[in-house]
Amino acid sequence: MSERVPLFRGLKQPQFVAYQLGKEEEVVGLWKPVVWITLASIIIAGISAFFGIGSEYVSRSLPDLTRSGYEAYQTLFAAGQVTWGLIWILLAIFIPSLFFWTILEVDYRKLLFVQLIITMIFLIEKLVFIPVHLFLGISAESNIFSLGIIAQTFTSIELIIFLLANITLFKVWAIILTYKYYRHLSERSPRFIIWTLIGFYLFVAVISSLLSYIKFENII
Amino acid sequence: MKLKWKLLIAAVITLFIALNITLIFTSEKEINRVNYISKWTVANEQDLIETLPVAGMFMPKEEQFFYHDQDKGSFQGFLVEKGQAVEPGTAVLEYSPQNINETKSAFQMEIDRLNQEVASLDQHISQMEQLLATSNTMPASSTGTSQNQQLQTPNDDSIIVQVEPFDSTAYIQQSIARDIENKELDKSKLESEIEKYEEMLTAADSSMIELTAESMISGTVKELKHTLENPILTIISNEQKIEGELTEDEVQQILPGMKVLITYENSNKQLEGTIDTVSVYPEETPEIGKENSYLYTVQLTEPEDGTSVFGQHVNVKIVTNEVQGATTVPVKTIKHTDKKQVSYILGAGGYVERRQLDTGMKLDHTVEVQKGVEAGELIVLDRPLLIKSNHPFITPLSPTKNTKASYGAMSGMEIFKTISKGFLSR
Repeated sequence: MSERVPLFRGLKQPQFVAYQLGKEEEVVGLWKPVVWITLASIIIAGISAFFGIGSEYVSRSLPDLTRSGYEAYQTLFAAGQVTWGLIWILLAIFIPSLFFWTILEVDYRKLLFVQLIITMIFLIEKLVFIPVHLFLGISAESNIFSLGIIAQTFTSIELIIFLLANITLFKVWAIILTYKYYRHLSERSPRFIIWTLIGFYLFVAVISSLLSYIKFENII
Repeated sequence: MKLKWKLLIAAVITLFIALNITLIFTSEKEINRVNYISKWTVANEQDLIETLPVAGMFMPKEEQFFYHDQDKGSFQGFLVEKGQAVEPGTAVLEYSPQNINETKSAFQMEIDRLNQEVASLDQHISQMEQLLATSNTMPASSTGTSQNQQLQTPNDDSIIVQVEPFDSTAYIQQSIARDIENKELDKSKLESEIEKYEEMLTAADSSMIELTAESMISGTVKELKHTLENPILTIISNEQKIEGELTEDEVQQILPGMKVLITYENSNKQLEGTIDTVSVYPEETPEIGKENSYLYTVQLTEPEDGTSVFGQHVNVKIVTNEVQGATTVPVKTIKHTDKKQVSYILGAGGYVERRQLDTGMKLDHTVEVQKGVEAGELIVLDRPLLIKSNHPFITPLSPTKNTKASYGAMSGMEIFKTISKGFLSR
């Protein structure tokens, strides 16, 4: 595939693209998609931050500050959120592919390619969440695409809620799609692939919910 | 993937999402929610003044009319001209004393005549008295001692009558005394008549003093009628009041004592006054189908300094309702539910609070809050559909409200900290 990397096609017709990918010797021209996706992530993070999503911490000081002081505070906060948007997508592209490269014996570039497709799913998830968040008035742990709400109905333990809220439909989709690709690319048994995938994402979910739980913003 | 599978997956996903949404609204346990607040405002403290604008005119505060009084004598002439300024005490009209003098001499003649009669009575009385005095010195003449006499009545009864001897001196004395008494009576009647005429004389004298009519007010002569049609002279005061008309609807709202703010052309001052009178009957006889107008007057708090003229049209604002230092919020921020009035505050800790309000006076789009919200508190203006109290809120960025100053006010460390917080909050 010397032409542009068919990311969208990779999403809609994974069979086709996976097959092609399996046949290819080498994948080139990955930098462009990496840049595009990174840009997309920054933009989406920007939109999200613009609406104040995730800025509950800043809202607390509204009664105490002047309007312009408050806005300055929130803008800086948003800048931080956008920065995270940049870092996070890079982590999401390179870390999983790195991990699976160590256990799957597949060409790293090919894994990167797959991961780019997968990160698109995550970007879609973030994008969809913006209107849902605003119109339904829900926060991250009450994501309707996740198990977070169900978790809240039978427990009050924050950690469990965070964990279950991390398990979203999109993540499931991501795992299934990754599995499809990896099956084509690797000779390992399907069971192995599935379990490592689930294990990996579960691990990430746990770390993520721990970080949410600690609430660093209160510590600094 | 086969179509059947795809449909099944789609159905499951939809059900899952639907389940979640249902749980959001129906779950007993409160699901974590966030309120998205895009617009808010602050409760102000201000004076609310509701005014009714009406038209008015500067009018003279007082008018003094002068009428032709025949009893004062004959009219001599006017002492002022039309348009002349006058002060209290300035003489404006003159009467000639001719009539009065005639009357006076008539009275005097009567008095003289009566005095003469009194004098002659006096003479008579003194003569009588002299006579009385001399009769006392005369010897008593009697015709003998008392005797009993027997008389016969028609019934043939006999009575015994005691006869006193006749004393002629006493009889004469009595009749003289009676005469004196009568004359004295006549004399006192005449004397009271004299008194009456003397009083009338002094009255005529005092009316001589009122030969000139004076102005009682400080003002200008408005008009004088040479035809001597009453009122023959009118003076209007320099001091002004405001006068105007109210419609039927307006007059029901206005009461004497209400404060009034006045503005007019040629001056950017604002005068203050109070409603002095409000007419209870219309200016013209009411008729079905015809609009009624009711007169009102305003008393100025301080006299106007002279940049206005009589009849000048003014803009009058009558203060119909006023609250000082009221805590006010826009009407839009209040939600009416089940006869309650509720508003949402952005409170401490970043939570939305629900407050019940007691409201007072309303003016345009602002309403007074008597209880429930303090001045300075932040109130949600644009209520999201699903606003929930006791849940946190978030606000969107308003880049236009950023100022360089606020960034300058933050230290480098603070700036770094804030960015990192944003970074870590993911």
